[in-house]
Amino acid sequence: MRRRSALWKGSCRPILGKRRGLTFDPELFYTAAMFHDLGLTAGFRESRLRFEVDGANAARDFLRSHGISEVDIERVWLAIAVHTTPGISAHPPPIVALTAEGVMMDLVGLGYDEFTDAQRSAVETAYPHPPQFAEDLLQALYDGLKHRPEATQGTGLADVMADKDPHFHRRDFCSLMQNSRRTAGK
Amino acid sequence: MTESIVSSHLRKPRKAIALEQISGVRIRDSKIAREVTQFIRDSESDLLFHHSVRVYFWGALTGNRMGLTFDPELLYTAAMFHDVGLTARYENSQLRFEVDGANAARDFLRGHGISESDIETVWNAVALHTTPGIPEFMCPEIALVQAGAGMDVTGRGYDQFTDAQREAVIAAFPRETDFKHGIIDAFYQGMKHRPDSTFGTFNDDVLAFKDPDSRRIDMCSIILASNWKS
Repeated sequence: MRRRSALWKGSCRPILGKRRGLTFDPELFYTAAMFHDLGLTAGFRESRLRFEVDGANAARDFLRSHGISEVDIERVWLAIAVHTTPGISAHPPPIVALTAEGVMMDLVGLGYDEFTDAQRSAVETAYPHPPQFAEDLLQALYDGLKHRPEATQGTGLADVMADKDPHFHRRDFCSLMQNSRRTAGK
Repeated sequence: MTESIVSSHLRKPRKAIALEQISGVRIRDSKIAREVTQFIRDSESDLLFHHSVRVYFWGALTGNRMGLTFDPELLYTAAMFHDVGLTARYENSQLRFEVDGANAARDFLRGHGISESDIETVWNAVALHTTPGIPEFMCPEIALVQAGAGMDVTGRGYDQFTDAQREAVIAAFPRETDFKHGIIDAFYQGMKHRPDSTFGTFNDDVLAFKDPDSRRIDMCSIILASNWKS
């Protein structure tokens, strides 16, 4: 999945990018795409942070050891950290939107029709979606998150927890507001 | 801040003196701060306006407590713009209300000669103020708007403020009668025409609370029903 996420954009977005007037560094974008789900892996089973932040921190540490500038590292960090935060495609550094959109194309087919058949076939041939990809991905998300259910509250990942764990209780924002420490009206 | 500015822009003349400084935090008496105040005063209801000023104070008090270095004018701008996307000006927008507010702040600051790097900080602070678990690792201004909004809306971090701090801020900018339902209603009025923009955020709880017919979109269903064969 990670490889495809970069390839979709590598194969297609430069065209869209030019139309939008976007320029981006393909290596930084590749790094963001490759690291975006690393926080789900076994090395982070003690973490209480959002898995997106674990992946962003890992990419930051990696890039620092390769002499990449802090400005570029910050862009990669942000692209990974907010890749599950919807609706932020207006964000200034292009790799932020491209990472989120690449993930959504690969996961849910968002923007599917914007790619040509040839583009989709070429990527799919090189890096096929395995059988049961959707089910296996949901399981991978759950395996990476089940020890930190709190970190999914208020995000789309809470749906994964609810799907896999019947005892998971989604926290309701309105209840939080109504039950806040302040007495009503004060 | 001088009393005359408070009088003309905040319209709370009798309480202005108490506001001049709260535990070392005050609103800068600068041209840009005055214009931010005026812009938001003209754009928002009293409820959202006062909420936004409190968010600034909670955020700045938190920053001082944590020993963070932040730009008070950028924090003030971001705090004041953080909910402007909920206002009637955006009744035809399909973007997230947070992004509408972030864009409004960006446009405002570009007219005031602020650097693009500072504008990006403010943009992020407004755009990410409802995103859990990420802003606290970013620039202080971004972290503090989210912390301030969480304190004012749900009492997050309530015990980390002293009684005196809480009383001083609330005395200067009181929570309206039934603020809790008032702010839920303000969220609903600002988002009911764009339910899709709440997908994957906790804002969809507001739609579910106010409209029994609304249906949350489940991320797992979307993944399982996509165009992909597997």
